[in-house]
Amino acid sequence: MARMKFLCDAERCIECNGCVTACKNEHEVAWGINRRRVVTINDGEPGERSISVACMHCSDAPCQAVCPVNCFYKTDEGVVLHDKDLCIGCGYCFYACPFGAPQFPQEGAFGQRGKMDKCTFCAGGPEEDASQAEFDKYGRNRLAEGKLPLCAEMCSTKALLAGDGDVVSDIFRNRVVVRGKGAEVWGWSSAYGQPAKEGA
Amino acid sequence: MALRGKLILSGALAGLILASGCSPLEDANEGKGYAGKPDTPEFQTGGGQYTAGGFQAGDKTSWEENLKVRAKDQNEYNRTGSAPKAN
Repeated sequence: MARMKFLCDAERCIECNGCVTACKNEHEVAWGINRRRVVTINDGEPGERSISVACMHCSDAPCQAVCPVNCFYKTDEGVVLHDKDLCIGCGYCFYACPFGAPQFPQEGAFGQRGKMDKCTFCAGGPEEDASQAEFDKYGRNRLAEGKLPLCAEMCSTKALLAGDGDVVSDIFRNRVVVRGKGAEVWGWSSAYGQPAKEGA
Repeated sequence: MALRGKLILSGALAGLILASGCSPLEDANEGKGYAGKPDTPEFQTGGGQYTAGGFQAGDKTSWEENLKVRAKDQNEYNRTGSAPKAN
């Protein structure tokens, strides 16, 4: 069984924001919501690094653990998804997430939070696959179409890799051997360091 | 005496409020986990008109194989035909 993971190679990311744009366009994400974003460390200084960050679909997802209405579930491929019809927009998942992945639309004049939105690994949500309802709530279901997340497929330098964890780590390992540096994979120990819990 | 009674009562009330605030949240689904709608596995429907890779809808093995091939295609060394040698 495939275990879907994201891997961002900081040695290759050029902060072009192509992944961010691809994601927003593919899923027609609302204003103010960024399912994916590029974070730059030491901007303008020697050693500057950029990393593309979104939901990492953690093995032992903290968002799932803290959700008071149990709206999170994990697919057989390890993709963490949620039911927007159940979400109450409490924001607990935002505080629990080490990557700041959950996003909340500001609704109304007083800025109250709407239902949580996050990266779906282009796997839609709990609606009929490829239906309009699924697209409206969660965006396109590329996994059902036999495709990988568009952010990774669009990445011009192939800094962002997505897919079966064994395959992407093999690609990365090969790169590290060839270039002889940059073996650190940002976020992997936080996201995949803990084994998945039973029934999660 | 009346003042003492009021103090005890207000203290008990404050304690009760604090205790209820600190108690664990009630589980919405009585510990059964996910409480939302069921989701169809991705390999089952085939994804509609934009499906790529020629896998058979409902055939998990061919779907997984298709995704694996696609994931391996992210390695540009495969596209150029040969991996450069390590220094």
